[in-house]
Formats: sequence, structure tokens, C-alpha cells
Amino acid sequence: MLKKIFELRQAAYAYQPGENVFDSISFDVVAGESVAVLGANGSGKSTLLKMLCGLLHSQAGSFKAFGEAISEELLEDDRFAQRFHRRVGFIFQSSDVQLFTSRVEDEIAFGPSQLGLTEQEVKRRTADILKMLDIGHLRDRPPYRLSGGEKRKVALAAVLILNPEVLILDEPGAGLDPKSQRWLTHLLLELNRRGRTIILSTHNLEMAHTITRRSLVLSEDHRLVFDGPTQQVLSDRALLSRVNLIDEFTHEHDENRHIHLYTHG
Amino acid sequence: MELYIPEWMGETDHQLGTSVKTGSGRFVGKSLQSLKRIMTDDVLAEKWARQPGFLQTLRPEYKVAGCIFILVALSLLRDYRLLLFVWAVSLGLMIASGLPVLTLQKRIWGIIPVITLLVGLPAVLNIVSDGTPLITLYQGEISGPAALSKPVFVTRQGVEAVTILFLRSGISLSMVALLVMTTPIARLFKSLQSIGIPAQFAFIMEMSYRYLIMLLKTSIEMYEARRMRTVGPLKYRQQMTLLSSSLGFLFAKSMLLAGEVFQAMTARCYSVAKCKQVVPQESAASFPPMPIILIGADNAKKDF
Repeated sequence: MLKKIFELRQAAYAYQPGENVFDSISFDVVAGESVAVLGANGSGKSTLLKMLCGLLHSQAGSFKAFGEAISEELLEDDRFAQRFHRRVGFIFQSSDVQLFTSRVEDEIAFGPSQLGLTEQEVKRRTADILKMLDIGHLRDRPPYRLSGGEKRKVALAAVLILNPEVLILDEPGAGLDPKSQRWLTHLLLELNRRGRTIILSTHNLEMAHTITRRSLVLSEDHRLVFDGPTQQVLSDRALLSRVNLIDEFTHEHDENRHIHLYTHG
Repeated sequence: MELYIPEWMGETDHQLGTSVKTGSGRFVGKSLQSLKRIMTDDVLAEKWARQPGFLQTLRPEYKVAGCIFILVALSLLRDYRLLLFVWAVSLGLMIASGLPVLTLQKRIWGIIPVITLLVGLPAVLNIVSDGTPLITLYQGEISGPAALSKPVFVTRQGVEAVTILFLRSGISLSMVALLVMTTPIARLFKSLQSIGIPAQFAFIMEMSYRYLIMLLKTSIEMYEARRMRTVGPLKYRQQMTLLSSSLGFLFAKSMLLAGEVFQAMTARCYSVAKCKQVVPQESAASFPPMPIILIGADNAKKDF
């Protein structure tokens, strides 16, 4: 039987009383899965991901990670929080908030330097990650001066160097050029093949199709309306249209009728 | 596509890193967590402004005018008994409006009035402002340098002036807290114009507010991101380095953001020249906080 990583039961969250981001959501994630959280803007994707990595806490129901019930009080214990964060890596939607040192190399070395590794080992791992993401040339640059795509790569490197079991990515393709998106897709597939659990939020259906085998779909009224194979949801045009992930537009050119299908890019 | 994956990424080395609780980290973390709670519940959700209560039922314009009147009156009052009475009224209003009185008192009196008290503290000594001796600190009969041969004592007038200053700042803050917490922020800014504050000032205040909220959100997210990657104990020096670079990063980001906000304004036909023309035309009298500041400064001078 596969090990359960996350168990969410009847979870609910509201930023303002009476305005639920989502209500009564339940699902499990098992080790090695690749899951896409799909939904239109404002459907609660980011909130759900933040809940999975312990940054937000469900206001109802229960949440278990690695078999342990997670609560706000438990994550206030540094010892537990550090162990938890070691196993769950999170890439924020905005890479800007994730970068806080004055050099790219220091940014990447921040995690491993706390693990009791020798200085040499930290340097070796940092060099490995710089090579892996092909960002060696950015080593001495201040992170805030980088382009959007470069920042995204540095943020990814800073998390990957901790070698987490679960990688949670909030809109990983946002702001990346097509070549970088293809590279990222390839990387995530490879990490998943090597046993990492990948959970990502996106409204880019192509990315979800290529990377993930399972999808959770959130509707605009903040409900979990689908939990199943990605292949299946992507062929359900009616559902995708209902949750505002695709849109049809009909117009005429030279008396010929055209139907365009719009998706989020 | 060729992809290099380091060998150690295949290992599961999660036993590495034996962490310990770090006092300062917990302090910073708890402060930021409580700041986050205040921001999400009190500021963004406008939790208190949306609940039923006495002040919530009043029109924002009346509340703004009333608040300004009380602030002016506070800066004129010199009797601490009257000041204490106004404070008691503010407590009554907090209860009638369903606000968390104890939490608010801690927040209000714990920061700005204490700083005011510290700043005003030297004024209690006769070496700053002469007066009737209350507590003698140094007799002055010991021979030594000329400056130290004089007696040093705490004056009654000095203690009274500092107490009044402390009470004034705390009570003024209570009044502003009452106004801000019981009024939805959009209505508060709108009401500023209806009581005669120029649209340009109201606009700048509103923009500053949005900008501050954005910066606060960013700093909290930065803390969360750092916490997600804090997987072991950090040395004191490392913590200090991180703190300073985080501050630097935030400053650089705020500068970039300010530039972008200005560009966005320019793109929507905002003109600096036009703004410069508007600002000098406003006299000190037409800017309501200005008389308050002037009266306050004048009174403080008289008190000392």
C-alpha cells in the first residue's frame, strides 16, 4: 500500500467571515503522485497549496501530513516545523518574496548550511544545483536584479537543494518563456520519475497534461468538482468550460464560421 | 533535452539537521505571526468595522469630524484628570462598539506612548527645565567639574508635563484607533473629502495606505518563505546577516515598486507639474492636521 503524504478532510478556509475560499474539501495525496490543482483565478488554488505546506491552517475538519495531524500550535514548535519544511518544499507564485539574500549563491546555500553539512559539502551541493538549473553565471548577482524567469529558477534551486520529498509549486509556469517552460516540465517529470511527489497549481492545461497524472479541479464557487485522472478532465470540455478554464469564441471570416478555444496561458 | 541531476538528490537524508529552539527566531516569528493575524483579520477583513456596534452605526463624516475635534481638544487640555476622563470615554466607546478593549489597550499603550515617554524623560530633570524639586538625584556638594557641582533633581513641573504628554499621545491614539477600526477604510477615505480635505491629499493618503499594505504583505510572505526553508539552527551571525539582507531586499523592492507605481500613474495621465501647482496653493490652515500639530507643539513648548 502506498504511503499517504497528505490527508485533508472537510477542510475549509475563509479570509473574511462568510466569504469562503473553499468549504468542505477532502482528498488524499500518496507518495510519488503528480497532482495538478486546476481552477480559474480566485478559485482558491494558492490557498489550498499554502494549507498543504502548513502556511495556512484549515478552519474546519482535519489535515494530516506524513500520518501526523497538523495544527497551528504544532507548527509553532520550531523543531517540528523545521522537520516538516525539510520534507515539503514550496515554490511561491511570486519568486520575489522567496529571495532574501544579497547573492544568488548565498540564497541557494541558505538551506543546506543549516543541515550540519561541512562547508565543502554545502559548496558542492550549491555548485551541483547551479549546474542543474544552468544558472552558474548568476552566482554573484543580487536576486532582486534578475529577470522573472531567472528569479523563478533561483527560487526553485533554493528549494531543490533541500531535496524535499514533496514539491509544491504555485503557478510554476507563470512568467516563463516557452523554452524555460519546456525545461521546467522536463525537470518536474524527471523529479517525479525519481520518486518526488509533485503538486502544482496552474491554469495552464498543457502543463497539467504533460506533468501530472491526477487533477483536482476547483470551481469558481470554491468547490472541489473533480478529482481524477488529468487525461479525463482535459477531455471533458463541458466541465472545463463550466469552471472557466476554457472559453469558446465564435466569429466569421469571409463567410466562414470559426470557433476559437481560449485557455489560460 | 539533457538534464543533469546530482547523485545526492536520489538520497533521502532527512535525518540530517538536528534543530534546536532559537529564542530570537521564536520572538521574530511570533511577532510576525501576530502581525499577520492583525493584518488579515483587523485590517484586510475589516472584522470590527463590519460587526454591529455603536460607532459602526454612525456616519464616517461625523466620526472623522468628531475625531479631529477631540484631537484638537486633547492638545489643549492640561489637566490630567480631564485627560483621564477622555480616556474613560474612549474605553466606554470601545465597549459599546464591541471592540477587544484589553488587546487594544496593550497595542495602544505599548508602543507610541512608551516611546513618547522615553523621549520626554530628560525633561523631568532640572538640567533641562527648572522647577520645584520632587526627587533629588544628586546633591551637588561634592567637589568636581562645574557642571556636576550643581544639584540634579526631578522637578514636579517636569513630571506633570511628561505625564500629560504620555496621556495625550495614548488617548489620541485610542481615538484614531476607534475611528479606523469601526469604519471601512474605503468609506473613511471618501469621508475625508466630504469634510473639506483636498482630493489630492485624500488620494495620496489612500495610495500610501495601499502601498503600505502591499509592503506588509510582501514582508510577511518573505518571512513565510524563509520559515519554509529554515530547516535547522541558525547561528546568531547568520541570523543577523539574513535579517539585514532581508531588510535591504525589502527596501530595494519597495524602491522598485515605488518607481512602478509612479510609472503606472504617469501612464494614466498623472502629471508632477500639475501636482506641484496644487500643493503650494493649499495653505497651512486648509490642511486640518497642521493646526493640530502646531497647537500640540505650542502647548508642549508651554508645558516645558
